[in-house]
Order: sequence, then structure tokens, then C-alpha cells
Amino acid sequence: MNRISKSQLAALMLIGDVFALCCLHGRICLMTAIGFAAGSLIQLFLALPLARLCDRGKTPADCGRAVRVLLLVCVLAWGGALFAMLREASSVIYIPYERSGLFGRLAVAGLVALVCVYVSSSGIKALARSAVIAAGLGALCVATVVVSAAIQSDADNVLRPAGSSLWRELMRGFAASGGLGSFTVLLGFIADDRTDTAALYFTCKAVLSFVILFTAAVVTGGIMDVLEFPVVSAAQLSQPFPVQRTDSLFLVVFSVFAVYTVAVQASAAEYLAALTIPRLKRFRCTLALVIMAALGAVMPAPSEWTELSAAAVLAALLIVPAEAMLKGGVRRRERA
Amino acid sequence: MTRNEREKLPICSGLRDNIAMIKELSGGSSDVLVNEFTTGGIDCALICCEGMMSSQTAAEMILSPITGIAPQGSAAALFSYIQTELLLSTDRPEARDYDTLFRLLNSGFAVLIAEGADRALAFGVQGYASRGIQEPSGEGNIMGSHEGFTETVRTNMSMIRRRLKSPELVMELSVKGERSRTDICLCYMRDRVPKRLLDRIRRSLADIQLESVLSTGYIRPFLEKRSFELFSSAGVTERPDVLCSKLIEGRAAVLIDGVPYAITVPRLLCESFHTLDDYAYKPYYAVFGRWLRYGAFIIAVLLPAVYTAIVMHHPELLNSTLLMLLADAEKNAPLPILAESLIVLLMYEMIREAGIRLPKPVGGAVSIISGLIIGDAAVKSGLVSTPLLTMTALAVLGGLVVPDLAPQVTVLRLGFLIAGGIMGVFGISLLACAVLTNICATEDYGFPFTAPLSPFSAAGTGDTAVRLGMRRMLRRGFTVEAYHEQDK
Repeated sequence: MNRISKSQLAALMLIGDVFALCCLHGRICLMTAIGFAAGSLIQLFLALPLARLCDRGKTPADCGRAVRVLLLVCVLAWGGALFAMLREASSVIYIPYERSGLFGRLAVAGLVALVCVYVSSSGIKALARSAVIAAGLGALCVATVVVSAAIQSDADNVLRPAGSSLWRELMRGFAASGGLGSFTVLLGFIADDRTDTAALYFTCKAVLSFVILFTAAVVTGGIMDVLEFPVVSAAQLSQPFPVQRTDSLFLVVFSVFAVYTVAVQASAAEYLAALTIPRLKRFRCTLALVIMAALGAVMPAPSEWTELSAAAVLAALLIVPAEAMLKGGVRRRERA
Repeated sequence: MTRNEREKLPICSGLRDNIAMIKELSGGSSDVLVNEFTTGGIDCALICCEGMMSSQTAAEMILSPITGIAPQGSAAALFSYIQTELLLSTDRPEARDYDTLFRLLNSGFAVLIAEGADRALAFGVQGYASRGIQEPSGEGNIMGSHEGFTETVRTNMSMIRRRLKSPELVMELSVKGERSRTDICLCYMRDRVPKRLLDRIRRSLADIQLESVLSTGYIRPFLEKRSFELFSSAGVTERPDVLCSKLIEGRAAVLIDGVPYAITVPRLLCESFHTLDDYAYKPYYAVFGRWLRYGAFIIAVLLPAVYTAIVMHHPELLNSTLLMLLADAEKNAPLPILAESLIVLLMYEMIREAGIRLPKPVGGAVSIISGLIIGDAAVKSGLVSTPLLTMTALAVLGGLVVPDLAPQVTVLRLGFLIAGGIMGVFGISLLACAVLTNICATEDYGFPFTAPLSPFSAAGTGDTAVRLGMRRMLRRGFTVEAYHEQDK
């Protein structure tokens, strides 16, 4: 079986989280940054039973069919949501031919899907290795944006009231963490200690979410009401050079992250499909991507179904430990 | 009985029959010489291949001592006497079948057969004409040795042995190619090479079923994975000193007779950016040179694509001065910038190809025609803009800094150019994802091609991102096994 390291899994998942943050819809403020960071730490707490179970040798592969199907649905739905987010975010990011009608949109989605088919069919090891390099590139860009934002930012924006509550931001944080379905699946591929892996990933996620959202809040605070995608706009406003714009460089990170985020979902879906539908031997990955792209074409972005998305994330994190607990209880009763 | 089956037949004891069989199997080829004589009271024949052996050595070292042997009772006694009493040559294998006999004969050995002997004695008196040791043409350096491999495998083996006088250096000779019977030598340091790697290379070599082995390209595919890989995971070098450094790091090498290159396994991407001069200069300069090469590779692959993408789709990336300059230069160009870039790049590739294939005296003329006439005329006529030509020239120059990756640079440059021209930075990013994944998927014998970058290995960065001082490098006792990923 192919194994990946904890830093590789963290890179794979963090790329997805940053992409979800880029596509985050609606107002953001200091409370959003706190809510997302706190949400990540709560997710860590919720993921610990799963990690412990995996450490003891129980992976999603050992779960019942119902659990695997539920995870597959979560993964496919989040994949569809990613396509929907890509579609919506492309209204503020310039992608050639994207705005030239249905054909342009189909061509862009098709190209992304095509690259994703190749990337995910190369195997989880190749995907994980390349994700580390892509994450390094992303980290460099985030650092550039943060440094240039520090110059452009307005300190008053930090305390600007946004009419938001911690509970609402926690929910938004959970809703933007749909990749946790694939985290549940990929945790079984980890060669290192799973508890350490979960700790590393969720801690990094909390820090990264806070830094990105805080930066976006202080840069775009004053014009937040007219912005659709504050993180994208913050990157566009935080120009490191005074005489030229670097928006298109941000597009590099955006598209690379989009590909890896979708490819991770496709890989997880392929793995789950292999376990759940053994008769389906070929084109599992392609089929998963076709379903995701089709879902993406019809479904709204996750910002419009926050509660449902948050519930799906909770289910993806807790379903495997819950099943193990139920089975353990039944076994104990049988022994008794 | 087929020819192959007859070749496998054992040598018969009748001299006449043997000579007839040899003549028949060689098809009466004019270069197979049979010298019959009597020595020790027994009829013998010395068979050799003209041009493959040194006539003077054969006359002095074999014919002269052999013809003076006192009468012996039988062919077996004669052969025993020659083997134990006469030191005719240091390399004296025996042949018991025609297949071996012909292999030795065609390798420059003189073969002795005798009436009543069911075997043949061979004497190594090779003396064929071969190119002398010269400076490598493709891997130049300043401070290191100026010797390159030659076409003779044994000379190449001696060049390695001269540099690594350790008994741990092992060279295993074998023969590959049903028709060419090419000598192949597997070299490794017994105490450094990972055992699993060696076993798997041996298995890969054993699987080779070829008619002939005429270049490294015949063997390399058998040492690599079957899946599509942009970059080759088996390296090639024409420098014995570079090969020795790789052997010391625990790699294995394959030398092929008739080819002045050695194949090294495993190969990592970072190796393409290393030169032997890195270890001759101070570390700070070596680090500078290394990063210059990394940058040159990126420029070589991406510069024309990024330029085209910016001019066609993302002009906001340019500052106003640069934008005006480019707009002014491009407004008179009759072709779309993507077509212009493609034409310039393809023109360069044609000129390069012509420079390689043409005879050397004409090569200079090609440079003049391409550089002065085509380049100058294209710009003056307005067919190609000056900024585009500058970008292409920079990209080409970048590619020349890393000659090891020239084929990949050429193809990727064109691929990225098309992606960037059609879809802008978005297209470049998508293609970059696919290429990055392909590079990261390249892995042979459990050694990831992208190590030590991904999977990250701190031990490896001492000679990739930077170049440690020689004392620290030697202290860490690095071998390539540090990069091995177990199939768990």
C-alpha cells in the first residue's frame, strides 16, 4: 500500500483549506479569523478519536459499507462544491475565455477536470509529493501577500464592527472545511503517528486561517460591503510593487490550488469507490470527476448552505469512531 | 538445424571439421583468418579476426613461442603445456562451443584449435583501432580532469579503476545483444550500493532481449519504469570522475562497449544541476553557480510562455514604461504573438539540429546564417519583434546552462508556450500541475526523482540547496540510500 508522510497529508489538506478561504463569500472581520482558528482547534479535538482508531489499525477501509458510502457522498459533494466555488470565484479572477459564454465555462471546467484526472491517476504518492512543492509555492505567495498587506493595511479595520457572532463564524469555518471527508480517508494512508498528524494539520490550519483572514480583514475592511470575495480582493489590493500589479501571479496559486484540491477529492473518491463498488474496476477517478463537475454545475456555493455543509463535516469526522463505538458496544453485549 | 542451434554445438575434436564449421558459420567472411601450422607434433590452427587483433603482439607473444614446443603426446597435453608452461597472454579464456569461440574471435582474441582437442584456447591480443582518450564534448569543466570515456569498455573500466583503487569496486562483465554480442559492465562499490538496488538492476539487465546494443538508449528503457516519464530516471555521464563520485554515493553504473557514456542508476533531478566544478570552488561560489542553474532552468522552460501570456492576456503585470515599450515593438509585427513565438522557437530548434548534424566546417556557416542573416533580417523586416527575440534568446541561453535536461527543456518550453498563449497564466499553471505531478511520480527502484526536495530529506539539502564545505560533506558519509522510500 502506498504510504504518505504527515507533512505530505498536511500539505494536501492545507492547500484545500486555503483554496476554500480564497473562495470564501461574504463579510469577514477579526471575529471571522478567530472563529475559523477556533473551529480548526475544535476539529482537532473531534478528529482525535478518529486518529486514535487509525493508530490502532482501524481505517475507513475496515468500516461498514454504509459508512463508506456516506464518506463517498461527502467527498463527491465537496468536490462538486469546489467546482461551484471555482465557477463563482472566476467572476473576480480573470481566466481567458471563461467569460465567453457556456463554451468558455465548460472549457475551463473541462481543462481543470482533465488535469485533475491526470494528477489523481498518478497515485497518492505523486500527488502528495507534488502537493508539498505546490504548498511551498503557496506559502511563499501568502507570505508576500501578508508582507505587502502589512504596508497597505489600516489598523482601524481590525476593530471595525461587522455584526458577526463567534457561533456564526464557527459555523462558516466548519462549512469551509469540507475537505475533512478526504482527511478521514487519507488518514489511513499515513505512515507516521496519526494523532501527531492530526495535531500538525489542524494547528497549521488554525494559524494559516487566522493569518489569511486577519490580513484580508485589515486590508479590505473599509470596502468589505462591496466585495464578493474578500480574500481574493485582499490579494489584489496588496500589491508588493508600487508601479505594477501582480494579480495574475495570484491566479497561479489559485489555479494550482484548485487542481490539487479537486485532485485530492478525486483520489479519495476513487479509493472509496474501489472499496464500496469493487465491480467498478476502471475509470473510477474519471467517473468521480465527472460527477463532481456535474454537481458543481448545478449546486450553489457552500456559502449558501452553511449549516448543511457544517453538518456533513461533523459527520465525516465522527462517523468512523461512532461506528467503531457502536460495534464495540454490540460486541461487549454479545460477550456479556 | 538452424544457424543458432549450430552455434551452440560443442567444438568437435577433428581439426578439419572444426575449420570447415568455422568457415561455414562465418559465411566465408574475408576477415576471419585461419593460420594452420604444426607444433608439438600436432596439427593446429590459429584463428583470428583481421583488424581486431594486433598482428605484432600475436606474432611475438603467441606464434613465436608456440611453434617451438617440443613434441607432446596428445592435443590435451599440448594445451596443458601451453596453459601451464607458457605465459602467452594474461587473458586466456577457453571456448567449448562455437558460440563462445565466435564471441572471443569477434572481441579480438586469437583462438587456437588443435587436432584431437574438443576445446579451443583463446589469447587476448586485442589491437583494434579505437579513439584515444579525449576531453568530453558535452560535460565541460574547468578545474577537474579533462578525460572522457572512450568507445572501448575496457579502457573505460581502467579509467574508473585508476580513480577508485579500492577492492570494494566491482565490475561485472556480461554480454547483451543476440547479434551484436556487446560487452556490458555493471560497476558498483560493494560496500556502498544498496543490495536491493543491485539485485533489481541485475534482474532488469537479465530481462534485456535485444538484437543489438548500439547506444545507451537501448539499455536505459530497461532500467526505467514503463510508465510515461518526462524525465529519465537513469542518468548518463561521459566523465569517469563524475561516475566515480556517483559510485561512491552508492549508485550503480552500466558501461557499454562501443559507447563513450556510462548509465547511472538511480538518478535524481538535482543531479542535473551539479557539476564537478562545484566541488573545486569555494562553497559560496558553488552555491551561487547552483542557484544560477536552477534559475536558468526555470527561465529556459517558462520565459517565452510567461512573456506571451503577459502580452496576450495579462498586460497589467507590466509597469507602464515596459508596457509602452512592448506595445510599440509588437504593433508592427504581422503575426499574432503566439505564432511569432512558435516560429522563432522552431527556427532555433532547426538551426540547432542543423548545427549538430552538419559537418563541422559547415557548422560555422550555419551560425553565421542563423545569427546574422536570419535573426537580423527577421527583426529589420518586422517579421519578429526585438523583445520577443530577446526573450527567446534568454530562454535558449538558459537551456544551454543545463545541457543534461535539453530534451525536456525543448519540449516543455513549447508546451508551456502553447498553454500560456491560449489560456494565459491559468494555462501555464494547469500545465505546471501536470508536469510537477509527472516529475514527482518518477521513481525507480524506490528512489524518488525529486528527492531531497519532496520527500524532504534534510541530509540531502547539504549538497542540493547549498554546498557544504568538503570536511562537513565527508563527515556525513552520505549515500543515495538515504533517499530510499520503502514500499510499506
